[in-house]
Amino acid sequence: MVVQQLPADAAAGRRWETVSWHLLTVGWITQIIIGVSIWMFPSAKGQLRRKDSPRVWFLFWMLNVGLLLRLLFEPAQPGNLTSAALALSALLQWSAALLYVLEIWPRVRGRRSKSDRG
Amino acid sequence: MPPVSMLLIRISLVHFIVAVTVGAVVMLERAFGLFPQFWLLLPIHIELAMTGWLLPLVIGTAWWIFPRHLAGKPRGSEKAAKTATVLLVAGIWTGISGAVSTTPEAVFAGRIVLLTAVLLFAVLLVPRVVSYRDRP
Repeated sequence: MVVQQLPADAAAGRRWETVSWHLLTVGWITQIIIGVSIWMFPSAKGQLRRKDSPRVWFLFWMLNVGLLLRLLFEPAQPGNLTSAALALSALLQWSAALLYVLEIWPRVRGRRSKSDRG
Repeated sequence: MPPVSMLLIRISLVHFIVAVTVGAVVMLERAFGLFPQFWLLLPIHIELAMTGWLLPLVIGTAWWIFPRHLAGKPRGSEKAAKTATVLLVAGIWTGISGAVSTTPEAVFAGRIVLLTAVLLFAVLLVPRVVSYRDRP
């Protein structure tokens, strides 16, 4: 009985390990990087004032809802609901990453010229 | 933002989007189990997320933001920093190719090149960890 349970327990343990790694690397480190870079990177060319765009809030919610789905369903037993939730989680986190790159890429730039400053 | 920082941060953003895309593919495989060979992409996801995304971003931001030298080149040698950037990317991708092809020699070589790049950046950045507040 114990011998039969071991593989299932080990698999569940691995799933929890994956969840904890992603909470640490995505939920904490990556989210701090995203927040701080949105705060302190130069504003995009032609944009005088830094203001949170709706895109930034959209990516915040997509990233966190995606992570929450992962936390709830990654350790769960396989099934249709689990599969759908994990697929949605993957899509939400990928979309959030794409939105972040689209937001920050134009702000990775050199010193603002005098004409830009107005 | 200096050109070296722009280069490093853009490299890190490219690595980030590739890491997340590969991670999403592996997660879809985990959800539906259609193509088990997608699990072979897992080392790419881990390496790009842990080193390819974080290292260039942190080093690029430090190069931009750390206090500048008062004499000579303000941020130090750009040529050395660009060389270290090339070594950094080469180290990351050599490590990835070794992990994917299960060639320990390539993983080891990648780690050595990566270590060389990090040491070179340390040599460039450590002298800039200073405070000019009490300067006479």
